[in-house]
Amino acid sequence: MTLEQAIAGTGAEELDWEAVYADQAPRVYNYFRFRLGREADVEDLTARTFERAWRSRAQYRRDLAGFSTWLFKIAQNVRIDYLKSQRGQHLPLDAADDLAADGSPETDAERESDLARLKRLTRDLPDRERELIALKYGAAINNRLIAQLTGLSESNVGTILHRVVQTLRSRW
Amino acid sequence: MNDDFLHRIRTEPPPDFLARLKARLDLQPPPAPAAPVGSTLKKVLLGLLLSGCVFAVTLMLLNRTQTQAPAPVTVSSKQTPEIGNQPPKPAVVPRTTESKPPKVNRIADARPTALARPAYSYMTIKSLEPYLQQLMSRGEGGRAIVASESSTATLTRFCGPEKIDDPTPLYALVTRRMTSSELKTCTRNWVKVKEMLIGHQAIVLARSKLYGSFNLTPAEVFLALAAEVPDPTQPGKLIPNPNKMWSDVSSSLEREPIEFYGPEISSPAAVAFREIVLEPGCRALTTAAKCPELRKDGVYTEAQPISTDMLLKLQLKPNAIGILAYGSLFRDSNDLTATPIQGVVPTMETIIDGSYAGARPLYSYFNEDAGGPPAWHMFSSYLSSMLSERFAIIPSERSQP
Repeated sequence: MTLEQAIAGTGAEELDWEAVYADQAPRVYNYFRFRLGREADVEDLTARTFERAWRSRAQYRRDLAGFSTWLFKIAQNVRIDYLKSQRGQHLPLDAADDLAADGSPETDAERESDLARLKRLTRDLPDRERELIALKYGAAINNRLIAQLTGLSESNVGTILHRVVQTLRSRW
Repeated sequence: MNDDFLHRIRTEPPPDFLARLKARLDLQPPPAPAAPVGSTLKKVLLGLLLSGCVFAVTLMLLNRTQTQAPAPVTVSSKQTPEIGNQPPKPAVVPRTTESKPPKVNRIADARPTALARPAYSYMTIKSLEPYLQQLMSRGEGGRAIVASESSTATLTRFCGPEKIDDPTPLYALVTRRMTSSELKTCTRNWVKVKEMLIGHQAIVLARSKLYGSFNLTPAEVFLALAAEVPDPTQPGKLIPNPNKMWSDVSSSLEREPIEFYGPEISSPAAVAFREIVLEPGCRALTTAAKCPELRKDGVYTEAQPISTDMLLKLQLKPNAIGILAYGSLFRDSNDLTATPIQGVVPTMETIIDGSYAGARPLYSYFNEDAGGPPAWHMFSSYLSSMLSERFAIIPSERSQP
């Protein structure tokens, strides 16, 4: 069952939470993979997001925003909290990845995973563009929802994504 | 657009992780079902009905109490103040601009009327001072003196004897009720007192229901929000506030960043927040003559408290705490939940009975003999205009138990 089917009822109380979980968990999981660019901590952040959402899921008001919007707002905040808690404690793992890359770019490219490659190529992009990539390809959500989450217009989302994907593909 | 290389990066989460997480989620208690609109309407109507009944009963009880109490200072020339063994109470005047002007009892020493001399007001509520100053400037008295002092000092002046070089104030705004001994002093000095409970000024700390609330004390709020806090190594010395997380403030609090959205720092509601919550926290921890201001390092962000701006911010940052007038929370309680202060959740009952530390009553006293009905009505009318969320005041009608 898809999320759309799950919320096809008339009110939040009729949501099939099993179906919601099955649909949304991979999205949230991949959102964090794309944002962090690694596997470490992804499970932890996914779990935190769902625990917070589950505690208050009765508060979900379908008339205000889609369930996905609500869930990904929590995910965005979980990530921000995580970054704040990491700040100043130790070098981020990104830095360790950079230090490990001691070969030529070609060898590195062969060796690294697609995820690590994405991370390397998006490192210098503005945060907003990395967020769009993570929401579009990690969370696999549509441009309308992304627009709600980022405060951009839907057409703006499409334009930025098109430009960023072109750039990434040329460097892939 | 060829974006397969990005789609390929997606992967399925490990099944054992999904199963473990689901098992943990299933252990959480089932959520309370969201109330449908019809049900909410029924609850509101039922609430209004119950409130009306409670209000009516309270009024009856109040009337009975006033009838049984020793005769208060009167507004009628036929009545005489009596001070017996029981402490006298000032006359309680309903807050309305449409009531009949009270009769004035001109006393024998023929004091000058209020409008023949400067309108002269004393008050303890700094947040309201500029607005009362504005009123007085527009009044028929022409000149105005508005001063802020403590409630005790204000009432001492208000009830004090008339002096040529230091006229008795006509109005007093205080955050507690006049005591019987103060009223006796008033009576002794021929000050005819009229009392009005304006309402309650109440501030709430609210968070998005997504994250829920946690219990705070004024001292913890002070340690989270003051620009300077006591140095743990040198008590008595203030240092720039180093607290970034709630767990820095107290080990019993969550490890979550401290973030506040509140009214503009110079606004009446923000001043009220400082007076009602922050200063008691400051006094509990320091002996500094002047309490520090709000910190300006980004922990406190100014937002419009009664617009959707605040709600939106709190939804987008559900760990943040919003500083609001009680009325705002009441209106938007579907999205926000109030943080208890010292274990007490703000409700009309806890605000009125004084157990909620984020609120205080506002009493107004008026020297009827010196002012006369026109001045009284002007003052009442102005006070009515202040009963808004901007000043975080709940009108007395709504604050009746």
